[in-house]
Amino acid sequence: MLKSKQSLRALAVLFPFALLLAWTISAQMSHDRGDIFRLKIVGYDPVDLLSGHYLRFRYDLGKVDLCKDIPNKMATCACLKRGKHGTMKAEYGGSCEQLQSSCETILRGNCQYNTFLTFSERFYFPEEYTSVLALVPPDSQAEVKISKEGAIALQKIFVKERDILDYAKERIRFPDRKN
Amino acid sequence: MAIDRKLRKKLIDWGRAGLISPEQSEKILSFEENHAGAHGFLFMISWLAAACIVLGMIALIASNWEAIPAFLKLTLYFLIFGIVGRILLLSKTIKPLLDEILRLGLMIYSMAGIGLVAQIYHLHSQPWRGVAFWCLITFGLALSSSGPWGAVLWLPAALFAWFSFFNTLSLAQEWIAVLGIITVGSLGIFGSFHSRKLIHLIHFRHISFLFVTLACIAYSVTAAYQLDEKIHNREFFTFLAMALLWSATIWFQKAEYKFGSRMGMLVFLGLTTAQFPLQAIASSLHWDTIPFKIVSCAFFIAGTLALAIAAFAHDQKKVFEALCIFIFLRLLALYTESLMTLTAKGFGLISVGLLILGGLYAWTKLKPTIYAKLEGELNAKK
Repeated sequence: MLKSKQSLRALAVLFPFALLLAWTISAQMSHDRGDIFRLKIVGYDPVDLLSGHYLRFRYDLGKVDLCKDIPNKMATCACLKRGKHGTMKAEYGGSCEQLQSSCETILRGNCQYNTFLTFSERFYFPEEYTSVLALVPPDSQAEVKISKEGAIALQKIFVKERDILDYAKERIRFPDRKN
Repeated sequence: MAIDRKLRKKLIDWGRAGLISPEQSEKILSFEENHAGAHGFLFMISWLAAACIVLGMIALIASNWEAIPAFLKLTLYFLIFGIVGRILLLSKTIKPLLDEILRLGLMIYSMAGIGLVAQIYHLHSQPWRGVAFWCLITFGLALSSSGPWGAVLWLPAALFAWFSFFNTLSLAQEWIAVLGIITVGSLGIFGSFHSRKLIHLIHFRHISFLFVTLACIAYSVTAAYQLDEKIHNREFFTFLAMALLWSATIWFQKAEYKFGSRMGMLVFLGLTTAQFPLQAIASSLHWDTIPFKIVSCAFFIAGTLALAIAAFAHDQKKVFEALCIFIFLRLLALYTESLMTLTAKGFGLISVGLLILGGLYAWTKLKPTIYAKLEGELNAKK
């Protein structure tokens, strides 16, 4: 009885440790998996009660309406092709199963009130840059990794080829200087 | 030094009261003098030094947080988790209070870990998912916690995740009502269920019971302010079903519930649920607001008083007292909103002050009599 109680108490401590570790490893694996692409990003600013020190944006995948005739909160996929400026653009959308066989690079997402979201549209940054990163700077691009299955992992954000954190540092040092 | 002075004063008091002899007093003093080094100034300085080192380390990490590579942050996080876990698992001499603090600390630390991983890998999702994950991983810690705080942290988080999840389902109102009934009703049943087999869940039972009771009280207070609003069937059926399920459970309890407690709970549940039909009747008869509020307040007072008696029957005298104060405050609120504005403002304020003082005086005078009468009544009906 005492032994089983002790093992339960041990399990209570080990379980969160093991699960958090497993989750971290899986996040690291997702982060490392796939090929690197650049996607254009633009501001996205719905009311966010839990907003912190992060940039909220959405991927600008071009003019194709990926959420046309798709119910709210429904999973969907976009077929991506390299655009003129090296960034990826959506060529067409559709069900992930169909696209997996017909398209080389697919991106999995979800239609939230007619907006295609991938749940990687948040970039955390240090608190000191809050004043200069309140909005997505113009001409921003996200460097992402997209796996063969279409899962996306955000790596970095660039503002005209400059790392966004370097850009923020510079904006703080020289507030009057233009981009 | 202050401790020494206090001790001397206490020893004199105890000596006067005949609790200890002068010889014992001398012995205690000489013992304390010999051991003063262990508890005195040096001890405090060593604590101060330890606190400085720990706080300094935290400040050092915090101020350089951005410069620390992600891998190191995560390593540091899991290292600390591992050290605390090891202390909890392997130290047999650990004091119960420290064990409890460490368990609760690990629960909070797990939430910080979720935030840290999300921050490092730029992950985000709906908040309920993160909370649900936290509930999943910390359930064991909350369950093995010896005090109620594990359940206090865990249960509201679980309810938040559960009800937020409801919202994402885009279900028809009827289905939401059914899920609401099942959730709140089950929580009420679980909270009032006394079983020796579920001894480990004692804190979860108590907190569930507290939440459902508070929900009922809050509802019976707010009902009086919803006169002009349309009554939602969903809410009505949720509360009705919850009250019926909960009443049934209380009624069929045989072993541990005392008669006064059972009846008190039933009256409370009945009167709380009756607020809805009362509101419907008041709406259909186009009652004036004030008479409706007075009747509703009477329902509330009777119900909460019944609940207070139920608590008294369970030897929860502090809960009884708190509920009595709550009833008094409700009456005061009714007075201020209904009658105070009728009189001159200055007099109204004075009258509230006088009422509070009068209530306090009456409570101090009548409390022993009320306690004695209730104890006599409840013992007679056992």
